[in-house]
Amino acid sequence: MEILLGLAAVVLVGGYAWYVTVVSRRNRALEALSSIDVQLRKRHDLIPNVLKIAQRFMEHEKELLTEVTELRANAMSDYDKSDPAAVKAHLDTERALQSGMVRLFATAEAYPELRSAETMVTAQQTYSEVEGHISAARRFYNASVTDLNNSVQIFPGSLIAGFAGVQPMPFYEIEEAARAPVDASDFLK
Amino acid sequence: MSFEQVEHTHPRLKGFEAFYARELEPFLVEQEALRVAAQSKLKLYSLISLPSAAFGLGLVYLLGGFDGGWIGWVVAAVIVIVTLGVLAYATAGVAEVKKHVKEELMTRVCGFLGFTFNAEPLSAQLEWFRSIGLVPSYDRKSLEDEIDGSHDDVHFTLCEAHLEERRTRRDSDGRTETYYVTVFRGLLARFTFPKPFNTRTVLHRDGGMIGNFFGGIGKGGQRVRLEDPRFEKMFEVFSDDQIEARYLLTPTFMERVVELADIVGGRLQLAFDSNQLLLTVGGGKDRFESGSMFSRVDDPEMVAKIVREIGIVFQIVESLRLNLKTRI
Repeated sequence: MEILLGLAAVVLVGGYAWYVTVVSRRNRALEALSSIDVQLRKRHDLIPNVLKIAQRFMEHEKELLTEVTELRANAMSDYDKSDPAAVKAHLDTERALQSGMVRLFATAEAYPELRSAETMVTAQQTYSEVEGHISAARRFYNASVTDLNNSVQIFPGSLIAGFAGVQPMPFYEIEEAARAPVDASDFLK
Repeated sequence: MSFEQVEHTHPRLKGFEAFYARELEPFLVEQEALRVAAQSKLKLYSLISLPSAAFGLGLVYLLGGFDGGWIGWVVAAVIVIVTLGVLAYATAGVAEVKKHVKEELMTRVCGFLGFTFNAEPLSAQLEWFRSIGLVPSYDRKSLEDEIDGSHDDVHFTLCEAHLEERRTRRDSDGRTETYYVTVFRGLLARFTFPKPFNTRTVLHRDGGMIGNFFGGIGKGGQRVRLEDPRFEKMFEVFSDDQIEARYLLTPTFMERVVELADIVGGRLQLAFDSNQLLLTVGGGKDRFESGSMFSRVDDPEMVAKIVREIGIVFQIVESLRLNLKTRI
């Protein structure tokens, strides 16, 4: 009888410890998600300036400029942080926006006046700086999500997470286009 | 290693062979003559003072000076003190030449590279390194050989530090003895860093699972776990800001730190603080020295060794790409 009670106590304490771990990791992942949003806001704030400068020179790229404007508007809309599907959709939109910005800067290379405009050079440098911070925030978020998902998906974590209502969260991965190596010959013509 | 080979170790050393022949060799030859003269004087004083002391002590013994009373002991003490004084005086002559050679050699070599040399640096910076945890607490310090300059627009200052901690022990008679143990001997360096940052991030040497657990207590900031397994095996990172730590420690930069740790071969630790990169290389090696008291001062290999040791600055700046304007 005492052995059974002891075992029950061990199970209870172990289960509670796991529960604490799962919840604290979920909170940490949410904190990391908020940190990403802080950095992404910097990107959102910068985009109108870049578009304003680009519009003056890139009259034939209206489609691309409109697409980036729409992607920015979508990315800025509110979402439910506790819903993994909504988080995934939000991160996908940001990924598309980043891809759009990469295309915008790549296209700008074909406009020598724009490329050499001082405001554009400054905007590009600031954008690179912001992307550096977003990348750092993304790495922190993904590390937190890995910890969370490991504790949620490995048995008996899956049971405890189900009981606590904690779900795995999506990773924030970057678009293949942004990760692909740059073909220098395109810019050296 | 010939000076022609030294020149090829780094572009900034181009022209060093001619510089050596013009500026260093005549000076070193002259100083070697002074060292030989001082050493001969030491030999002569030793040959006179040591047998005289032995003779004097023997005489005191034969006359029964140690059998009773205190006069014999006083005479013996006077003989020993006078002998040690004579030997110290003669040794100081050789030491003075070696010290002068080292300081002048470092000043000239640093001048060739556009750096400045200070034999006795101020200790104000040391407290900075200690407060961050890059060097341990200490009771006695010795700083020397400060080099200050720029390489590829990266400003740096480095110096050598020897830190000791005071300890006490009791012998069998209950007497307390105080002694010092070395807790750090190595290089302290700081560099301007191309990326702006606001918080503090420190890279301590990895102490293993137990070492990290206990070592982490009292260290400021949160533990930062990073993706590079080689880097994680070598370092334990603490930072006030998880995101800024990753902004500074990009995957590329982590690779460079690992490469640098392989190159410098010592116990490398780093910290980002107040827009500077602070760095320590422990490991007990005494750098920038001109050899033992009785070694030649005009040995070209000794000069080549000092030049190679100063080259650690180039290795750090270039390995970590601190000169990159792209800030990657």
